[in-house]
Amino acid sequence: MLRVEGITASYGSVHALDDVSLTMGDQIVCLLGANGAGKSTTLNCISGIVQPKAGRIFFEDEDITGLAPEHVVKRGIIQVPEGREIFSSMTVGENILLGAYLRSDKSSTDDDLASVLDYFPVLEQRLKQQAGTLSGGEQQMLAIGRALMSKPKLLMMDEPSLGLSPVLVDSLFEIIGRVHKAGVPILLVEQNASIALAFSEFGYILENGEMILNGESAVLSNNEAVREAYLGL
Amino acid sequence: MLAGAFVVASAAIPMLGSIYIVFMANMILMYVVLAIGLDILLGRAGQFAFAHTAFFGIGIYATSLVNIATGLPFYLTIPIGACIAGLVGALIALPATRLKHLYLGLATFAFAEVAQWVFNNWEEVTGGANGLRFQPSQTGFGEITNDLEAYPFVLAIAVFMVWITRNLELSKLGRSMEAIKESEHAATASGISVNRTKAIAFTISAVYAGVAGGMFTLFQSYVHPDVLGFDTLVLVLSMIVIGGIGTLPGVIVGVVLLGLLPEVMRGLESYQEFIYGIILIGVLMFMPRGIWGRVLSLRDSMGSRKPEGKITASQGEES
Repeated sequence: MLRVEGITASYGSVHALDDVSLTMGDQIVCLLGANGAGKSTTLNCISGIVQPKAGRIFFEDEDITGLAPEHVVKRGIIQVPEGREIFSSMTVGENILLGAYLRSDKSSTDDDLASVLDYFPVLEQRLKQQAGTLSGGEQQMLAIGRALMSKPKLLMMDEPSLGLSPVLVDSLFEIIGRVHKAGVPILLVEQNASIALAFSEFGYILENGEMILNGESAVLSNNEAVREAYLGL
Repeated sequence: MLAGAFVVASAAIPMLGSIYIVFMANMILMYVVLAIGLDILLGRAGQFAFAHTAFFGIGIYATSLVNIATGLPFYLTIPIGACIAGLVGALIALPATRLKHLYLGLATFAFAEVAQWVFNNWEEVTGGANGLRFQPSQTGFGEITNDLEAYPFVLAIAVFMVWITRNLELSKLGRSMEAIKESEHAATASGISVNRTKAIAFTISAVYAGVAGGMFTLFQSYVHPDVLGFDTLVLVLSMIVIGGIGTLPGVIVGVVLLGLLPEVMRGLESYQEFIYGIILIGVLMFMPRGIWGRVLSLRDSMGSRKPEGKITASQGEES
């Protein structure tokens, strides 16, 4: 479904990605790596925020390399940006509905709102509350809820666990698992390698902008180098 | 309700008799359009752009020159002038959408300075530093020769522009402007084209300034490039900030307040700048979201005293 073929990207003279490839079907796939390894840049290339210098990106067998971000969204690739980017002075309800920005079908928008609130019951009580007053975990849920309103065919999450307490991380990943079960493939960027490998089926590991390793998540979890570098074991 | 009170109050103004009061009313109504135009870009789309007086000037010169050349009625010349201002706005938007914050502010300010230089020096067209004398605006039935005759039309245009703004607020475009102001990342992730939205906001804002320029030609008889400079920009900015940035009622309150200030302070001319500065500093310190923002937060805190009231959401742009 998603096929990234040898993309290269740089910010000015700084090389961010060098010949990075990945493929995924309808699983949960995680992309691991240290700070600055190029994880976010890879997502940003797919979502059209960063233009790759070389390489091609295919989604559902169509070439989407170089499409503007709003056209990538139109194709159903939705990114949950890093750092809980929400519209903080709007209400929770307005935030969620902005996720349906590109859609005009009112009736199914209502259905989707119901299913988003079903995933995140805590948001239902706070629909009229200003989004900036939510706790960190609630803001992350809001960002994911907004993304689900766009009816993603592929959901890309950038560090959803960032800054959350371990308990919240667990319940967040439990919800991510339910979203996937409902039929949404997920490409997950994480620094928290242990939980990402536990919840995903396949993993890629980036180091200094290069893909150094990939494999089934269960296999990666037992790989000596991975255990040492990313799991701290 | 506020809109109704505004219209009734405005309609009653000519009955007060004095032609000077009518002139003031015309000025204030024009400033309403000028200020809500700047607020669309600044308060809603969150773009710190300061080229507004340039588009205001283009609206003034274009409308009056078209009037001189063709003698068409004002309801054609003003849209033509506004379109020309909008066209220049769209051209400026192309490079401007690549800039942010301080850089955008400086670049647009530089454009405003260049525009004022052109108004001052393109003598064959603008009359240069001698200024440009207008010909009376045509209504199709006759000519507008004084403030009182201009007033109903100026009022109608202002009401129309306020009504358009209200609709813009509630539209998809209005929402996406708010979204890019809040977070460009989140807006992009929601499928909003950030650059396109900025460019549209830029163009719309320039059209408003152009319309305000056209209104100016209805009740004034002459323009000098000096009124198209930094002072006017600061006045309009202060109106927005004091009234309540990003809120339609707030901007109107700010325009009326600062528009009436010179009158209230008559006899205190030498202290005018001083009092003006005190008001601005006072508002910024005690009402950072302006007078209207203060009204809204008072209303919210009264609402939240109900038993089940938790933290109420700020109702932001509702009026």
